[in-house]
Amino acid sequence: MLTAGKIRLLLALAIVAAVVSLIVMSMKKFPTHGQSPSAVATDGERQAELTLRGIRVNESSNGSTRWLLIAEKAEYDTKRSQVKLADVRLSVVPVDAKLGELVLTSPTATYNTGTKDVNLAGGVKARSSKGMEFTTRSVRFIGSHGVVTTVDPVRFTDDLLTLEGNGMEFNVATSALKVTSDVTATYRGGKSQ
Amino acid sequence: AVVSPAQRSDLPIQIKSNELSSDGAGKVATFSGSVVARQGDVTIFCDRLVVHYGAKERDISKVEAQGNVRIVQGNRQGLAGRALFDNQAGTIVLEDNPRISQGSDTITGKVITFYLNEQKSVVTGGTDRRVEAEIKPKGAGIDVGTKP
Repeated sequence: MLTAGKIRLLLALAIVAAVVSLIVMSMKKFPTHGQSPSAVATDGERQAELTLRGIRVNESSNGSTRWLLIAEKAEYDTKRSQVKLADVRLSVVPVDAKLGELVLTSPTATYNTGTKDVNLAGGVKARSSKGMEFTTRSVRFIGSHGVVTTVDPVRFTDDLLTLEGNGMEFNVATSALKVTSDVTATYRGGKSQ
Repeated sequence: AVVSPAQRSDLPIQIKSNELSSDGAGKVATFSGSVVARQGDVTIFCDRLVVHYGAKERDISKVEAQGNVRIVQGNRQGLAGRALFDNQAGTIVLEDNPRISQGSDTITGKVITFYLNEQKSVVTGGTDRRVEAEIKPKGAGIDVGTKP
């Protein structure tokens, strides 16, 4: 007959068995601290789920390329639909090819896969096919509108003109340019027809 | 320093303003907001300055000044509602209530042409506006008519 003592003993045994099995399961699931299954991941790699060597993104319409983005290295972050780029080259081609291609380069950039915007940073240089050179700190290329814009100080130079100011908006399709404040333009030689 | 004609059109033109916008074809650039344009001994102040390029881009063909135009060259000053600067001809044509003063003398008319290389101005009247000049004799202030 099962006396109260025997029941208590059985219960104690059952509890001990349960605790032991719990311990065994948890040891299997979580390796002990300090043991990393692979080489220590850098911050970037731990966030980025995909690191690519060399990336090429282009947008075209009516069969011709509107802009082409090339980078040496890209870290793709799906959570934020963003690609962090290094050693970047963005060339933008207006519909009217006569207006010439604009090529922008910068050490770093971020490409948003949703909006198709590219934020170039770290010192941006640009050159138009007509020889106009342009420098600023950072630039945002609004892919959907084909507009290059910045709020930073800008400087444009070519053989006849030096133009400086703060803030700029350049429409690639029409080559229309706006410098938004503190403008100084120097036309060298001032020769005219 | 007075600038010779040959030198003038080769001198750089510097323009400062609040804002600049240029069209895509590279034909026109508009400077707006507290505009100051300087070439050698000539300075143009105005609200808006429209630079027209010649056949070759960035080569200035003419410059239109609009709104509160003031032109200063040495002791000569021109005021007008608008003015047209022709770099090749070395002239500035003032219209819309133009007035020119040199020292204490003042002349108004319908159109005033400023010759930048010759220290000369030509004032023309029109049907609705005659030429008026106010010349203050040198040594002004002495009353010639009465005995001391």
